[in-house]
Amino acid sequence: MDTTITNQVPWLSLLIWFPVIGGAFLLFSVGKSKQKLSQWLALIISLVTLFFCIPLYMQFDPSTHALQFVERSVWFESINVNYHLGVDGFSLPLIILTSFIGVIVTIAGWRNIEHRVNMYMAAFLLLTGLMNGVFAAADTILFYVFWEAMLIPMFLVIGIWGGPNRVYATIKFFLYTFIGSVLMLVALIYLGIKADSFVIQDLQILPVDMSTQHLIFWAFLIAFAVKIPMWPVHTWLPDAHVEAPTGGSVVLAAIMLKMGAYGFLRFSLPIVPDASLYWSETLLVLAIIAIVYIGFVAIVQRDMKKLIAYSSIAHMGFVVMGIFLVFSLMSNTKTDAAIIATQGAYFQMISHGFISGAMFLCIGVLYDRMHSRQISDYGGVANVMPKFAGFFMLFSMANAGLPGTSGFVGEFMVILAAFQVSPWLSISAGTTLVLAAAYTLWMYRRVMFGEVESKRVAVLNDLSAREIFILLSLAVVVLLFGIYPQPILELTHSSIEYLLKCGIQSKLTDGGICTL
Amino acid sequence: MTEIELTPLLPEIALLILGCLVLMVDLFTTDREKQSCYLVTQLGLIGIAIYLATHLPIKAFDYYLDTFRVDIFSQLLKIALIIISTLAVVYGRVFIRGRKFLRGEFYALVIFAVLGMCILVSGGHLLTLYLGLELLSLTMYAMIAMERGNSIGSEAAVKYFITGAIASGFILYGISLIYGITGQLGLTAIAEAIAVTEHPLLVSFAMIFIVAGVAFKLGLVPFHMWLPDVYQGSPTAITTFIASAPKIAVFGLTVRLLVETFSDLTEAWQPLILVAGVLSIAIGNLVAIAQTDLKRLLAYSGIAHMGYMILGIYAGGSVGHSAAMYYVITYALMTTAGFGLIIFLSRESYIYETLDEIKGLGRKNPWYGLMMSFVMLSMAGIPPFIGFWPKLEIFRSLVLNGYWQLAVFAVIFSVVGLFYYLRVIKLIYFDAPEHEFQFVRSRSIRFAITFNCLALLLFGLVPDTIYQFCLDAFT
Repeated sequence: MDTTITNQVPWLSLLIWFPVIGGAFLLFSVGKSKQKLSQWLALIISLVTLFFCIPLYMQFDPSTHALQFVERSVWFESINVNYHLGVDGFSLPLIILTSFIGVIVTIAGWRNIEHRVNMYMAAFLLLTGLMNGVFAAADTILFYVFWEAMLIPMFLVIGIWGGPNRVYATIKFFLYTFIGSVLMLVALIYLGIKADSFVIQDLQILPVDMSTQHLIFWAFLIAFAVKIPMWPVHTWLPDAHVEAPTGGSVVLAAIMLKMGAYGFLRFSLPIVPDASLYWSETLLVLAIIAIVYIGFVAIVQRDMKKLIAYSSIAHMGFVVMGIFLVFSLMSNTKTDAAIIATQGAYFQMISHGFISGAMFLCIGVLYDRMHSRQISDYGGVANVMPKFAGFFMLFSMANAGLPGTSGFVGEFMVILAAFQVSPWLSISAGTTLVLAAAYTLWMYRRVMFGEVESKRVAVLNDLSAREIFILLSLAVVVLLFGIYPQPILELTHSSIEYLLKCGIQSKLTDGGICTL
Repeated sequence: MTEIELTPLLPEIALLILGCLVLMVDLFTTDREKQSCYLVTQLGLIGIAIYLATHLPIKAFDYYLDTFRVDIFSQLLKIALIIISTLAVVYGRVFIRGRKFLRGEFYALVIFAVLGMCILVSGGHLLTLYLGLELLSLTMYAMIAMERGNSIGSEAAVKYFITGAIASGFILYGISLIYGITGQLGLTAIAEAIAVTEHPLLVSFAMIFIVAGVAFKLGLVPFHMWLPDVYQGSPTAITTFIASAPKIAVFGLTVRLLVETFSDLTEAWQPLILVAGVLSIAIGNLVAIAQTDLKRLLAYSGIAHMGYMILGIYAGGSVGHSAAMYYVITYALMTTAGFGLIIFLSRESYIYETLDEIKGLGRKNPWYGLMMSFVMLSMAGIPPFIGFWPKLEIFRSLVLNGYWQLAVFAVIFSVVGLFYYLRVIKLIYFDAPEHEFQFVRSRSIRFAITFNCLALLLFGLVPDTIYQFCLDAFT
């Protein structure tokens, strides 16, 4: 095992515990009435958390797949559970994304949250820390603890600050994700007992026979498929998105959905490669259904948030497709195409994090002013909000996968790789370019263009400086990665290469020790 | 014959003296609040717990013609149940003071019940065990009926008395059969006799009666009918007590009988507790969904919890047994916190609390809303709260022994459980308050609840502390 214990600053622990402790402090020591104070404190804490990512990024060595910034100390000694953290190419970009989104949602909740402000801000700080924990955990039980604990603040965010049907939505959200994850827990316990270790890397090299692999694969699949979410277990997402406050939707779409895909890369593929291979075609079919069928569902939505929620499911279908394409590609020794597929999938995860977050923020901007998400209540907004129209146009285009935006890169790479497997797969996945353009731009046209018919639309104010700042920072990222995707591809390259060459090697035949 | 050594019995003797002392103090004190009784009780109990903690035995030993067994297991259980009892007394005092039936006898009864429990977990002989069990049960009948004017309380007492008497009868019948077959009453001697018995079927028959009696006391399905009614009907102060510490003691009894004495009959009793455990988890969790009364909800959730606990004993091995012990101790900690909060919320005009009455608690009093959520999340087994770890251990012991299907069943029903715990949190945070909350005014209960609920989080963050003791008890 090439994990080394470094005596540097524990950046990962800081990324997890600084926002958590800051959130707890906010919750208990800042009064409900001190709205401004809690907002500024939350902003400072989330900004400091984001700054912790800078040394992490600078000191990260992208040339190795090994875990870096490893921290390890004994936690639950009797059952061999350790407080074990570390990042590789798969987790680092997601941690940076999480910390970035943490700042965005803090600023986004500045005006529209009026009651229990300290609690709202605290919930998002806790969320940021716990989600960083999910991506940084190198011990399965620690991973599970963060994975579950994170549901609590999200449950409260939707339930307290959500829309009229919030109670139904939030309980559905919690139960759906919980039922998926408990099965994963049993699988993790089983593997932990067999390997006599709960370290994820030890589980990845543990030999498992085929019938067990099937069971474990399904236990993982249910957990991750609910999170992503994949058709047909996606129904909690539109409800949760519609009812959640803007900040909640942003975190859900930008980060929580990525955890399912992260789980595939970290758990399913390396731990049960043979079952993953066996079921990969099924997963591809589910991904196509998500892309095509959910795309059609998105077109007919009347509620803007629901529309974006469905489009998220369709976009995440690309991630699943990219990940499970690698099996067909690797068995035909098309390693380069497999790398492109995985990179595309991963890029799509990060890019969708920014784009969907931005889309929900744009809808939040409109909702704050009109208190309606119905497309039919709008029309001609571009006439009164020209600055907003520009930003919204950019993000809509990105959502539709326009070249030049980050939305294009990931989808294009996955489609390219899919062509190597079968042109038909590629073509059906490619329909998304038409469908996404249809539902996003049609929504954009109905909301933004045309004559101002409603009196309420006529008096709308354009973006405030605060809103411009948020949207601008997201726009810069979306364009930057659209034109220059290299940073993310470089960060993940070694991890992906290792995953494809060693991680998914069959566990049924003894292939010896895999080295790159 | 040498002189009789009394040191091993010292804690029990101290409890007996303490109980009598409290009765005497009660007699001569004119203070209507019975402050002095309270102080004597708490200081005495804490002192005994400290004594036990500092005098842990190195190895197991049987005293007094093998009637009294002192080992790490028994001493740790005693410490746990005394600590839980002191918490229950803090909560209980506030409740009965508000209801104007505060008498010194409450403290004396608690102490005698603790004495009964201590004898129970240290019993090395069927008669000692029975003695401890009866002492515990009799004090509890009296406690439930203590509020004389309350007809619901009296009903609960009668119910508890009748079912409890039947359970005791079962156990006694089983004991008499065992005695008839083996001619022995000491647990070690019985275990040896069973290993070579010529009547295994008859022994199993006797054992079934004992298992049924124990299941009665634990409230396992199908012997659970009394539990919700008694929990609901008893004054909340008493419910707090009977729902927590006695579970630890009866767990001790279960281990003494099934694991230590009937170890040769494992194949015979395993299916029994498997059925009881599975049914308890299923019925406890499902019926809890339909409850509108917070105390009944906690009662049904308690049935489910005991189901999880017994699966640890079913799985067996030192991991399974320590997991069950871990489970029962943390359950007692959670359940005292839950009932303590109900006491804290009980306005004097109300006899018990319905679920609707906690609507909007989080808005009216964020701190205690948060504490209540801690209890619920912990009971649901959501990390990082303590409730997660014993569940994890139970699942681990099941998988370790090859019962992974059972583990899948158990986790799926923990999702069902989550539903009603979330509903309580929903009432606390998402609903608007319908009335003004009038909390009990007492600094000690505020302090105790905060301490108790924060312990659920803190022990969850350092899960090894309690579990290490549970492992020690079975090695």
